[in-house]
Amino acid sequence: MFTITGVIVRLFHEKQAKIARDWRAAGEANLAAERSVVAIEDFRNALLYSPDSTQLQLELAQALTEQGQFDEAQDYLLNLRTADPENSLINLQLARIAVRRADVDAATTYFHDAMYGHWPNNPHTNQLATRKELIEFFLSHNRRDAARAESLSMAADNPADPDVRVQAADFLLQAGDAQSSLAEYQRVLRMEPDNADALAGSGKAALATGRFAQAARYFNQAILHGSQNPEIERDRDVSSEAAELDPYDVHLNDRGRQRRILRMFDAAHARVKSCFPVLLEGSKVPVPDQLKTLAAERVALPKQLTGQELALHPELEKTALAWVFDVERSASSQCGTGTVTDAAIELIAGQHKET
Amino acid sequence: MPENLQPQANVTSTAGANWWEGLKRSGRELTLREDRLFLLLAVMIGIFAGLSVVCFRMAIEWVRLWLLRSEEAPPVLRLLLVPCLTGLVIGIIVKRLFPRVRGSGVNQTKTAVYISDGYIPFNTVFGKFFCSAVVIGGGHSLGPEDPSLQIGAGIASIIGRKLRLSRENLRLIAPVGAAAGLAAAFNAPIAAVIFVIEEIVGKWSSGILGAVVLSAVSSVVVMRGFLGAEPLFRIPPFRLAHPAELLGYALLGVVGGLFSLFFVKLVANLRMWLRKWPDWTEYVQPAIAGLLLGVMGVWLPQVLGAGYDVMDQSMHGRYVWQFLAILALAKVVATCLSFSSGAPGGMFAPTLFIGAMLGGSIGGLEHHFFPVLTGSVGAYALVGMGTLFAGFLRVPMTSVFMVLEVSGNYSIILPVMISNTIAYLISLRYQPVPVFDLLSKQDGLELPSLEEVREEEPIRVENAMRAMSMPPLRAEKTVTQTMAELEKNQQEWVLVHEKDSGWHIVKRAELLEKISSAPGHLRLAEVFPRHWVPTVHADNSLELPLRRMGDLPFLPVVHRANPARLVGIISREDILQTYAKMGEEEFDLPSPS
Repeated sequence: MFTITGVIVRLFHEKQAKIARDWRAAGEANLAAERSVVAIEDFRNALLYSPDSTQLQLELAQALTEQGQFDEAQDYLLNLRTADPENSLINLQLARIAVRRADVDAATTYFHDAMYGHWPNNPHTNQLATRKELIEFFLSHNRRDAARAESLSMAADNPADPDVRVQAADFLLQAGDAQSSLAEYQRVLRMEPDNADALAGSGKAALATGRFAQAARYFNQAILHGSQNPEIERDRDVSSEAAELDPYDVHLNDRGRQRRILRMFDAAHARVKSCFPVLLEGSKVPVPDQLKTLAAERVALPKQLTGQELALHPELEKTALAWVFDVERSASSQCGTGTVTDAAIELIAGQHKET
Repeated sequence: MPENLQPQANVTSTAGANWWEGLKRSGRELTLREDRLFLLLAVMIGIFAGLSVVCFRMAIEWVRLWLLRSEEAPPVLRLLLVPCLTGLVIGIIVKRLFPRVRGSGVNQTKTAVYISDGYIPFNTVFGKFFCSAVVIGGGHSLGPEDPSLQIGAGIASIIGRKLRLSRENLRLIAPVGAAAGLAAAFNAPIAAVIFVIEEIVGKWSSGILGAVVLSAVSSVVVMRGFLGAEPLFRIPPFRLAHPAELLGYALLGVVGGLFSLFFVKLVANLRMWLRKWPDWTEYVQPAIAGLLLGVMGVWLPQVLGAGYDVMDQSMHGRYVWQFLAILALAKVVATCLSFSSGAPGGMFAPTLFIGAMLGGSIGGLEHHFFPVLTGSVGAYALVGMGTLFAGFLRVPMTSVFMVLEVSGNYSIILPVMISNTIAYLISLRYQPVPVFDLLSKQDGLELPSLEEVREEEPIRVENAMRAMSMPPLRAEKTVTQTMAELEKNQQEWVLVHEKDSGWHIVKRAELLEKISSAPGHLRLAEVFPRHWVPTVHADNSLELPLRRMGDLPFLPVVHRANPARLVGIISREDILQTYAKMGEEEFDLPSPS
């Protein structure tokens, strides 16, 4: 009787396994074709015949998550997690559900459990990809400190991989830590001096720290070493222009500074002419409300600003720069990107907000 | 234990040789005692019952795959045809070949134990196996547990008959098989043992308990060997964050109790109504039920079959609470149709299903209005299973242990106990006769109601005892003091208490005769004739003094904390009068006077 029962059970298990395989294959095909509703039904049918399959439950949870059925997906995953709390695939799926629910604390926990858990294969690659996903999640939720900490860990865990370190430096820059970002790019450049991405990144980090001339040099080198990105070329031009226009350069004498302020003033005038012509038509036309501040600031300045006047009335420098910066900011938001000079002035304005 | 089960010592003694003496000693040690052999038989029954239940489950699955295909929601045509046609085929087979396999299996087993002396014929076991597999696999809303119980009991009965067990032991062996069958079907040995004790045997005696436990354990071991040790459901994590959350489970208990009443009334009334139909309709009743079930299945395929997969999914948030409530109602209707039509199959799985859906819907509803509650819908579904089990099947202990075993989570015990108790009490209050007893009464059988036995208020000694007009004599008193006390009273019998030997009963005349010639300063202990009497306590059952009394005129009723203190006496007349009075009150009998 044992033998007969054994044969019956074995035959049935084989049949079950075949049915489960067939449904699973159908589910995977439907999931790949983004037909998640059908895929869910297929995976459910497969699970009837292979109820303990972790992989099937994971796939069903994935399909359910894509379909927005978070409760059921989470229940499946939590159940799996109870049995295997260190399974990174399960924790990653749970993290993704938490991301979709904007539950930052849960997402952080599950991402960390996924990173430091057990991966069935390619643990290093998967851990790195999970960390990137976590950093992007932090950045999207303005958790800059957390993103910065993860980015530093990412760089520290991959000391010999310049690509990863460049990515970490990119994240640091997005997290607002331009100094650390620049330092990280420079470490990469010590390993690979010709790394175009690191050079371009260094340029961006230098720009973010207000080192316009240094940024221009990095951008230049990036272009020389094969960076094809047109954005880099514009960044180089803007940073070169900003270096030449920056009135706060400590090496400048009074005359030099006044010359730069006058250039910026002229550029602002040109910007006003193209973007807010109404401001130049005197009192004939009423000024819209949003431009009244600019108009009032302009009235406080002489009609024709000259080097002589700036030398006679040094307090005009500050007033003139404030007007220039406000013009460029307003024009940028209302009329879009202007010339390289306009972009350079805006950059300088960004660096010297308090001033 | 019957004679033929006693192993015979097959070693012949040969004097002189030491080695032979050693061998003899070993032989004696190996000789199995009667009770051990009974336990061995229980293990054997467990193994065979386990194997049968595994085959039974496989048969159900094969039939389902063959008839309804592998999809969760079978094609419409099959849904409409398969339950109807299987119902028709099984209706004819049951009516013509296996009339004893109709219905659940629990009552048939009780009938076998209490009416047929444990006799369950082989064709009933085969018929139950075959018909239940086809009916359940064909989509009828019935479960495999009760048939497994009957199959287990039947296998035990067959083995018992093969071994020519006595009638008494045959009666005893059927519940052993029943426990094995149920344990293997549920993968829950403790719940199975308690159910058999609670519902079939009705008493906890060491003789039966050991055998029932061993058979249940061995059948589960066999079943797990073939089908794996996984529980029936993937249980969701559970934690009780705050005691106030128990109120939510109390509400589930109330709703579960009321739902149980509805379920019992519906199944009992539908069954009675169908019984009034002409006899020939018994051939087609399962087919009609199957057709209606198939129509339901087009919209709600979840109600077909035992429904374990659906229960599992309901615990993991697949369905919204409104749909769970619909499923609970639909399953009640579907199960009543299938069961009342006479299709062979059990009520356990449908009860669990209804409980899970009801629990899930109450949990979902509570979450909707009180999102702070931490209990998951799955936890409510799990507790709901036990609640319906307690309310519908009226097996409170089994319901608690079943949930614990199925969940493997002892932290859920508080909600389970609260909810189950409330449901049980509501059901007990508004439905005096439990469902199994109701069904057996409908079948014209007077099986013992074990719930009645449980719930029965015992008649105690205190209900019948009276005060003794004369205070008892103390053996440490002097003869003079005793004479003075005897003169005050003219009772025929007197009680004497002696510190060391306890209570004695003496005829007054005999005592007077003994002490009248004795010096007055002597202690009574030195002269009185000793006739020791057993004592009883006021809280003892009234049967106890009857058993202990013998030819004595009465027994002393003494205090439990101070056995020297007499609280009253009880005589045979007192007992009989009390029983007569009880009979008058219970059955409105005319007074003997």
